[in-house]
Amino acid sequence: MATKAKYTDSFFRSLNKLTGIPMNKLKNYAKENNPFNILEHPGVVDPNDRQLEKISKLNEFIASYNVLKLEQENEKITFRSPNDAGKYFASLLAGVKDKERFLVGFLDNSNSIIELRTVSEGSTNMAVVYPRDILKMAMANDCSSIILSHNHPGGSLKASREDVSLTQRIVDIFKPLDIDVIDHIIVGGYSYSSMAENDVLPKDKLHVANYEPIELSAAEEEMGEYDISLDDEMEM
Amino acid sequence: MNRQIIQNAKEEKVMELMCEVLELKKESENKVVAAVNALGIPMFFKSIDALDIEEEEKDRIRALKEVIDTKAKSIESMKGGN
Repeated sequence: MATKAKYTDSFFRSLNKLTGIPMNKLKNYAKENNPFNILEHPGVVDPNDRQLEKISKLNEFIASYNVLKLEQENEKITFRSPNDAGKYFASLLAGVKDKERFLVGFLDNSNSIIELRTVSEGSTNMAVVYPRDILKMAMANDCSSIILSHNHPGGSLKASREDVSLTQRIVDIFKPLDIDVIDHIIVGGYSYSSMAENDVLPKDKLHVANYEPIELSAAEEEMGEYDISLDDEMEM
Repeated sequence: MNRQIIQNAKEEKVMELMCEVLELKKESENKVVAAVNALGIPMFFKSIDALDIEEEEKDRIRALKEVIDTKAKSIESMKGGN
């Protein structure tokens, strides 16, 4: 069976990256065969010892993964409280000290994550967020709400005026589209704080939507007292 | 042995194999393991972009995701008789 229409170049590149089998060998074999036969019967592409070991590991991984996936695929990550959101974002941002990263979670109408994207990754004292990019991602995910999170490399958990202002800019863009910004989680060190819980999260549109890039500098000033230590809440 | 212990053992095995396939640096491996423990494997694959590891390592994880997704689609199409 010809497989040209079924398997993309990107797939062959991926298989090449993981196994070391040259692209031309993979493609030639796939012209008349299912390329996944290679994982079961690696001899068909005449691999060297190293490639054989990689194929064997990949095959074993896929088999184990599929069993686990069947058991986990109906499990969604749903945010029922600021605590849920804080733990989730802290699992990705805790301990990041060498740069400032800005993440956006796109949620369905049950507050379950559809997709999580990094929208900005800057130096220790500056990151730039492009609202247009967030909007494009939100449209692509057909989300009902979004949740923002970024880390303070200096470790402060307090939302700065700049953080509030940035959140307001995002609310001004998304509120007219009926997409709520449900929280903005700030991660510092191994702890986190929630702007919603701290009651500093802008909720309503105040200004005309402004799509210009937003510069996020590392001003980490005090605005509240709320924070939770991950030492008690989760194991890292 | 209760269900949770069995489940954890399965997840640990998958993680171990995944790290061997991906050949990540030790530091990145620790971050990946922490993320999988917090998110679960399916959600981990939806959060690759947000991991604090090198872009080249993210590319390998994306490659792994592409291979397992393609295999799942291939099995689906066989179920449909195509």
